[in-house]
Amino acid sequence: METALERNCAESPDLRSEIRTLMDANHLNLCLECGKCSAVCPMVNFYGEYVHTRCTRSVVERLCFDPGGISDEALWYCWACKECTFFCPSGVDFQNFMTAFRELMVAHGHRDHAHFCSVCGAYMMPKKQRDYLETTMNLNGNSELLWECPNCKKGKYLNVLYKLAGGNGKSSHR
Amino acid sequence: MSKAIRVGVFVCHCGSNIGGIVNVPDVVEYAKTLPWVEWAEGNLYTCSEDGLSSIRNKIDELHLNRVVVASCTPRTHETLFRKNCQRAGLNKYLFEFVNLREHCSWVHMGKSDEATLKAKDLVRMGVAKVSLLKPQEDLATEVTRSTLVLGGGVSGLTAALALANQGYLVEVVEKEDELGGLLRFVNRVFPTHRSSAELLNPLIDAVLAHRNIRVHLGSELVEVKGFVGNFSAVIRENGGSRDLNVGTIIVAVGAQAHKPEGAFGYGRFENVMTQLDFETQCGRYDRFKRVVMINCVGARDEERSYCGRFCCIVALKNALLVKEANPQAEVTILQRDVMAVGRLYEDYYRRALEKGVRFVRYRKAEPPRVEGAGTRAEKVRVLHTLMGKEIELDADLVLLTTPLVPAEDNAALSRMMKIPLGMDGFFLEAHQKLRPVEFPADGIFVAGCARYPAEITESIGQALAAAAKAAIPMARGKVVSEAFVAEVDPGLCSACGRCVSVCPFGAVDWAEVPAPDRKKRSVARVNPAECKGCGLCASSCLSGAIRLSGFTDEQIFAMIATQR
Amino acid sequence: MAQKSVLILGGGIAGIQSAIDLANMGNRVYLVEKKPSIGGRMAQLDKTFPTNDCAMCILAPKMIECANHENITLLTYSEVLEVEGDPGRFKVKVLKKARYVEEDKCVGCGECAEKCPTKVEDEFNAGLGQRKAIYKYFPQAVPSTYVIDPEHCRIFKGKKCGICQKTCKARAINYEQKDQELTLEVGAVIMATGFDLYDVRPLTEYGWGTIKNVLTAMQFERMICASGPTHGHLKRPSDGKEPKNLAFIQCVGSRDVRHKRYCSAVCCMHATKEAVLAHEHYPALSSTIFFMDMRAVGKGFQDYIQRAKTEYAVEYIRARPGRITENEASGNPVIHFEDTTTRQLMSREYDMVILSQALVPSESNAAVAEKIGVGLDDFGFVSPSEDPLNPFATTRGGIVACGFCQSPMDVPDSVVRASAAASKVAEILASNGSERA
Repeated sequence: METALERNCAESPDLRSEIRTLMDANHLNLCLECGKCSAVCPMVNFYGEYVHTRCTRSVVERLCFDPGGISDEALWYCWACKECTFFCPSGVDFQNFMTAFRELMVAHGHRDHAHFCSVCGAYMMPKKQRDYLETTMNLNGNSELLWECPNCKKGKYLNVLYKLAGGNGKSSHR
Repeated sequence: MSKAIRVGVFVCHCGSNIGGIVNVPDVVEYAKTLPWVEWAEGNLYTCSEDGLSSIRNKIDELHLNRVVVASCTPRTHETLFRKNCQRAGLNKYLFEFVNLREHCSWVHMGKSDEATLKAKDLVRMGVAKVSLLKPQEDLATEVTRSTLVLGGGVSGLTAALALANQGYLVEVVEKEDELGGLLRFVNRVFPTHRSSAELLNPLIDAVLAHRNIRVHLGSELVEVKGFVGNFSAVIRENGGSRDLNVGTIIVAVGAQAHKPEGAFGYGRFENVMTQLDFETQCGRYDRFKRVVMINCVGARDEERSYCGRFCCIVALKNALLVKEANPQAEVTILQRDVMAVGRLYEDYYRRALEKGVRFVRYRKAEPPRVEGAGTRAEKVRVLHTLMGKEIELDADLVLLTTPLVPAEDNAALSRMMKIPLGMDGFFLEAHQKLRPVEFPADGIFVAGCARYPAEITESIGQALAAAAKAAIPMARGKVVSEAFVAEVDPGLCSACGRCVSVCPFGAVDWAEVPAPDRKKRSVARVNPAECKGCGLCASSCLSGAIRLSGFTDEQIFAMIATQR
Repeated sequence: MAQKSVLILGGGIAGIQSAIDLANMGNRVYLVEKKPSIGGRMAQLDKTFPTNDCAMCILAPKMIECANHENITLLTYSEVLEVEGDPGRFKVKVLKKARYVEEDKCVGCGECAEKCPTKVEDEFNAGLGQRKAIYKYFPQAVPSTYVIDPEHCRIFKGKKCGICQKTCKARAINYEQKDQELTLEVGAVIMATGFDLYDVRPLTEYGWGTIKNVLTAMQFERMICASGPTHGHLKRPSDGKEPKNLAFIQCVGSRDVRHKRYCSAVCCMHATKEAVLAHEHYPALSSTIFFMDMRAVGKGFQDYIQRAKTEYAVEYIRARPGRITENEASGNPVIHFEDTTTRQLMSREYDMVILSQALVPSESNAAVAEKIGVGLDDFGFVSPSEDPLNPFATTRGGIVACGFCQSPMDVPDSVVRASAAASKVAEILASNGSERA
């Protein structure tokens, strides 16, 4: 079954070379497949199971041989917590790559698995991450923590501060 | 000899190597009860400075004239203890070594009581024998100040130059018509990527120009006789033969490239070749778009268990050269382990990764498959072990990374010079850790790929090391050989010739002696300078005519007689 | 005329080998070693791969040969201060530190150490045991003279003592002894300063220093060595029990951009060796080695690995563990790793874990190199030679380098290069100071 990424890459050859550029910039080619990243990744704890095709090392391996070979799921699992980047003995910056990669995918229309700010529409986190946080934090969809991006939240607080300081209540932020 | 025998016995614990199994204090007490024993003691490490000075002190204090050390192996420590006796003024051949480690504690682990009994037996035998030892002197022979270097590759040339620069004469014998060895076929060297000619030509020029070096091209060694300090070699040169007299020999005959016929399409597809083929033939590196390299071809497998040591680096080198000439080229290396050992090569590996060379791990049990049409390979299929799926790589060039294999002449050379070959077919050095460029036969040394695959820096290192070892007897001007040698009694010799053929060192030859009826007859004679005291001749002599000093029948029978 | 004498810095196996070779050629050799005894790292090993020879058994004869050779002068517990002049005619200053024990009187009996009241962490035993403030560096030390550690000895800290002096029957103790500065004239210098062990405490993911049963490879060597602090018995630091299974983790600090980028060359082999030795001591014991590439490239090494697998219960798992945690009840370390070949995430408990620590150029190397004018690379190794035909040259003419201080390497390679350095020095001396390519 063709993954969305495979389809995208087939449709736009530019996407393949953009992915390649991102890979080079973040040194994915230095990966020696040692597995330390997968071993320190906290995903297993959050999702309760280990599926190799979604883990850090697997994503890097597959990208090196075939950018289209990554499943839709695999793109949206990572929490970008930076453990893998911190520990990688070869200098692969997976966290930065994943963040930039997602932005690229969103720009190419991959919006199904992503969660966006309800105020400004900016990309916030994978839907999976939002769902997990919601259930563990018992938030039931009402908290601004999960539905407003940091920029919007900051804007709100700045407005409050201005009001307190005696201004006319509207910051120029955002 | 009317002087009374006074024996000192020193029993070693060897840490817990002996003391952990044999009850050493018990053995010491037992030794005190033996005839002629004036002193017995136990040491933690008899070979340490403490142990040695204790022996010297006791020799001095108690006027001991025989010493028995019951410890580890004479192979490593006999010289040490003999010299120690000498230092105390005792003839070094009045010393007997009893092995309580390899002959006792190590082979009877877990059997403490029996091992202790056996240790006592061994010490008793040692004391019986030492009482029959006579003082003897070493034999000194002159050393010719010249070296024969077999092989004109980078190792041979480096050794030759090192010795010549120190003032020794060197004869370089090379079977090809030009110097340089395997390096002639290598295009660029790692990790600098300079051309091999840049390295080789100055070396060859220096050797040809040196007044202390004589080069024999198109020549082969035919025969070697003699011993350290006095070798006489015969070489075949220009259809004729020539005699050379040298003091030392360095074997630097190199290795040969492996041609993996039938493997991965080698011989069938024109674009499948070895790394060395590639360097010799291909000239321009930018012609290729999809290069796949397969490592460990003919190495680390059933046929050949060893690792080629630097072939991984050769693959990295060619991968980098291709990538640097054509950055768009896709270069993939299929490997089982990347042996980029140390500081320089790990960085070199990283350099390849940074340039975009890809690495795929494959398993020995599931080798890659090269597929093609007609005479050209087109694809390589391999199970990417770590991804868990098979991948297909397009290829316009398939390079097979092969190890160096032993040279064909090694077996013949081994027989000719009586130097051993290891199980892998390369020459076997005297001790892998501490004597890596020496042979058991004194005066003959080995360097470079003749010993095991070695890259340029290692080969140069080994060549210089061999040169240093060869310089030692030549600098001293003489060699001193051991007194424990065999001797033929001409009166008993029946001239059957068994000893002559059985001697592994060629130390027994024929000699003429006067016969009773005014004629001459041939008898066997041992050259004491060549004799290593192995005893093969003495035990093969049917007439009982050969006597091995230090292991005479009288001494052995005395040892046996102590067993009742 | 070049001086027919050589200064060798470093008394490990490389320094010892080149000293013997040069002395046998008839040159005078000064062997300078900063520790109280020669022997270097090899003296700390139990056995050596791939022959499993007892390290001390093959090293001791060479140490003794150095001590007894008429052409070799041992300057132990000494450091080089400066090297002036040109190749062939160097003037060297060496500091011989005071032992506070007279070398010509001390017989090495050890009674002083028995009575000394001050205990100090034992460096030779990798911190696993203790020694006294007056000590012999290790049992087979050459020279066998004892030495007082002024940093811990009560007398030097202004407290009352003097027990060793009272005990010594040979009257060898002299608290007033002074450092000595020697000036030597030599034709050439060999650098053979060897290596130190990387401190793996910063790799907190592996817990060395916090999890008791996580050890370094050198600590394990000392433990399994018959002359070590536990007399060759494996004892878990937490409870003294015998381990039934061991795990070895390779590349701890090596092949790591956060620590040392290079490969330390010998760890794949020494971990295998240690696993083999452990099994020999305890036939029921099995080991697992976690590795990235199994770098067994030397002669006989591949066969050694095969035998470890088939005869010595050693399992090899291709993985670089992420973390080590502790099972607090049992004290067992738990290794969390991704087995890269089966693609499974696993956690396994072991009785003891051994970290194959990175090996780094000697800490004192930087200071020595600066004093004598030799360039180092950014890891602290001697800068590679510019001349491919002379791999032993340093940035200063007349000074050659060999052994680990140039690049990570094992004993056979060090021995070869030591002899090679001797050959190069012989050329320098013969050519009256000018080095040849």
